[in-house]
Amino acid sequence: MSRTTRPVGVYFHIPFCRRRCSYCDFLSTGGATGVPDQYVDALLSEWSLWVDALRGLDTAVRSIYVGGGTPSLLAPLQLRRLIDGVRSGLPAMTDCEITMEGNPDSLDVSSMRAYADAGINRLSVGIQSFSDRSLIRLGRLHDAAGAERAFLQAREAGLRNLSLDLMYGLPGSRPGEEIASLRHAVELSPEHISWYNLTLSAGSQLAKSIAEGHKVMPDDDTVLATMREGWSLLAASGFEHYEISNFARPGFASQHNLGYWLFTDYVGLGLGASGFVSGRRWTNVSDMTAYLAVVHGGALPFDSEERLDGRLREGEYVMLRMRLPSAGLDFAAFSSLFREDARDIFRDALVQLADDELITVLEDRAVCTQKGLELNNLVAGAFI
Amino acid sequence: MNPKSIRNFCIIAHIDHGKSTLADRFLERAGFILKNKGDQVLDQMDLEKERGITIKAHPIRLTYTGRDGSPVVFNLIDTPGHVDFTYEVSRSIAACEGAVLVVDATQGVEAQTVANTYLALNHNLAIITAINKIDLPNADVDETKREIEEIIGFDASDASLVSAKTGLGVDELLRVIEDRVPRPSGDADAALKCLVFDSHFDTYKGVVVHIRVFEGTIQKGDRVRFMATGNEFDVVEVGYFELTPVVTDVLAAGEVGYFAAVIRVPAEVHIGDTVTSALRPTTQPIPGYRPVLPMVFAGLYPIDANDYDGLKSSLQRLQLNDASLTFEPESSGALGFGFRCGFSGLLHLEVITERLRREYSQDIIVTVPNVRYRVIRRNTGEEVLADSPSKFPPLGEIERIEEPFVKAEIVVPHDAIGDVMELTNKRRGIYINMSYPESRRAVLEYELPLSEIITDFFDRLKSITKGYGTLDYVLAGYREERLAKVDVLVNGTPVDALSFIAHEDEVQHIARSMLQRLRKYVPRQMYEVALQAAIGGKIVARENIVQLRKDVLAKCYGGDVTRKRKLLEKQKEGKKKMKQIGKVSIPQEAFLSILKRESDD
Repeated sequence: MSRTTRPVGVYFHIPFCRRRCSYCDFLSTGGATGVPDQYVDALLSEWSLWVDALRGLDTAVRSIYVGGGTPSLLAPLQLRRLIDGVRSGLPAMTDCEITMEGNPDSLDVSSMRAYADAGINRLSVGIQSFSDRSLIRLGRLHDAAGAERAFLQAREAGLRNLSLDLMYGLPGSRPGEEIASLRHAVELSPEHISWYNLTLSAGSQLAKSIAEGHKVMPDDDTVLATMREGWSLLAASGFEHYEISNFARPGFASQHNLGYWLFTDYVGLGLGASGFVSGRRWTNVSDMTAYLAVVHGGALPFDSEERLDGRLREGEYVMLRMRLPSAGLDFAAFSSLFREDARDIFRDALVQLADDELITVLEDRAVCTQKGLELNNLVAGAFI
Repeated sequence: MNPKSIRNFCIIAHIDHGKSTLADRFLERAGFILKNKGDQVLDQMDLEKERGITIKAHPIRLTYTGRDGSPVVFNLIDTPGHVDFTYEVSRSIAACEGAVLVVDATQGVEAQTVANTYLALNHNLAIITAINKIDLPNADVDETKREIEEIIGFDASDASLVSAKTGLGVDELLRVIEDRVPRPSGDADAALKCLVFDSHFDTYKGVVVHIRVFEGTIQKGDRVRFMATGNEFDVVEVGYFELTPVVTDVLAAGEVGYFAAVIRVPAEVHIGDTVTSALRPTTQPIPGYRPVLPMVFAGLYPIDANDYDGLKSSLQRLQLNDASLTFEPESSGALGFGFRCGFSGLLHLEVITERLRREYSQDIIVTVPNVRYRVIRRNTGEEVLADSPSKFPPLGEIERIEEPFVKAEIVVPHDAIGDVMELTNKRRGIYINMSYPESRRAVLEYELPLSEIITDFFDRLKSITKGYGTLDYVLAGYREERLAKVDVLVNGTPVDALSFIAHEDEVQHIARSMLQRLRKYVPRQMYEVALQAAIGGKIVARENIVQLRKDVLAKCYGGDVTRKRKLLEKQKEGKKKMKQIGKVSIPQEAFLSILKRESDD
């Protein structure tokens, strides 16, 4: 592989779920028991449309990520077809990270062994919480015991790179409940933890019950206190805080996720998926019939796309970079990409943010302060 | 033209009771072809339609064949319909001999109709009642007649029954107008005497003056004099309005039309003024004229300082058609350069600012409106006319403050008298008199501070009287009152644009409720923000806005970075529309929020 080979990530979106969670407004269809072969075929057709273009750019696959929805609804054979499909189109890097998301309720030892055989080397388990009452409120199909069992079975299935997905800032949480849940996760010793503040999505069931007064979101100060306590706990437990909501043991940061923040190319495949290649961002259509028809017709199923140029592109780059607590905005990386010095272009913003104690400007990079992480939108907003 | 063939009248109707539709039928019967069905001809401005108020009157001449087969000329004069325009309505009414009262058979009598009907009765107009929308299944003609008799108090047994929509009964109504609207009297050979009831600006002709000729004649070449101002002009064109202006040789006593005389400054033409001949002037002007005085003043500032010139030219253009709008440059420490503008009332202020936003795309901030105070300096006795709190001398130099009072006539249903009196008391009203022109209605006379009625007095009156209360007022001079200038400080910095004047007894209450409202509109910032109200350095109220502590997007689903960026862009866009006071961003709504008092309790 030559030195100029560009890494590319590949994302497959599996928009099927057994049941839709109350907080979700992401594209997925509830009531599913599996994934239709027709959809898997379409994903592979869509991929083949990209292969020629990417091959011309001398790219190699850095990561594959199968997300959803509930990807663990895929039969192992279907998963194998997707992974083999990617590999047969483009060369993959030797340490290519292949992640699948799964829900505890649709995972067991044999299926996880089969998924591992199919090619995944990383599993992200959607635990969300180790509190049964929170899980019920969120509309999840598993309980705390089931979550722990799924994790242990993944180990048994031989998966050495495991991530747990948890949320905080949930309506109705008792004091300490979310930290206890996080501690439970830490004690299982996963390689990676994604710890998200629940974002209320306008279209979700939860947003509706909050609007109707059935549920109350915790106030900002409560959530902030939880967030700080959780971040301390994770740091004390040896997890590196490499992105606002992501924590990993050294060497286990998600390569695929980092790709989003480091501005590397990724191809989003499937219904409503987003991608970014050569400075162009796009999002696919979100109507299944349209998606299948367009892909079947041999065209890319774009719903919208935009070309990032000039200041917009630079601003977005910095916006994403500033989500990385320790890497931050690396001045050398910036100038090698844009042939300009970020300190010149964004002088006013950098000075103002430093003045407001939201960032610290170091010799080689600018990084967020604790306050800058907590008010990250203000930091990001200064660059776009 | 033989004045016997002329009928001058207006239509009085509540919003949506069918005035415009009926006018359209009248126009069709007179042979005009209306291009856009459903788009009513008389209402011109979008804003009027939306708010259901008619801002500019628009006269129109309609010619029909009369009962005896000879032509009969109808002049239909439109009337504006809000309390801020009561004077303009009265001038339109003064130009007529009759009024058609339109009442919706499905809605019954509404309050605004009552007020204008009484205005018409005061001018001795013949009132013709028409019950409209009788084609609708839920029309109740008998109940509507009963309401007219009970609420307005005159016989409705011979009311015309029409459907303006289908045209049913319209021909009959035209006959009734011909029969019952008195023919104009007035001597065409006497000295010229015309009433100015409206005007508009034409780029080529200058101000076009809408007139009703009461005595004498007016024609091209005449030298005319405006009696209130003494200004004289040479008439270059006379005519009347159909759908468009029609030039004619002469307008004589009894006729309605317009003249142009190369008048370049709209403010020189005053509604209600009398126009006479400069060579052979009449001795008596037409009674009822009131000079146009701006009563309410507020600062208008561009959000973006670069828009100053744009705002200036927009105001100039608005002023062309609106003599009651005044403006002069002013500067504010907090808001930069802007204009101190004078308005006839609060509604006028709202209409103008709304038109600036919509028609001229001006992003503006409006400061707290106030009246023009008279401040007398200590020692020197010098008198300062302050139409802005920033023009007030320092507290220590003030001997006394006087504020304008109005003489208000409030007509209310008898069962609301108690509540209305309570309202006027709270608004520092001074009781003068109460009379009962008839058993169901009382006329209350009060002297009230103008500042108390320019805010929401009329809205409160309407709600207390379920819409039937009416208000008319004239300026009645200045009175000394215990007033104080209240400064508002944001993080210790006085924001001159938020300063306001209040009565000493109410200062605490008003300051507190104002800061509370302000607090709701100012978003949390990176620092704690202190809002304070102070009189001459003494803090009288305080509110805190706790700092913003958490503002972060947690997740980026499946790499949808665009969505994330758009969210941030939206946040930023919102911030651009805010005014920076030091480090604090204050949105436009915050300035607007303090315009109105929320309630009286």
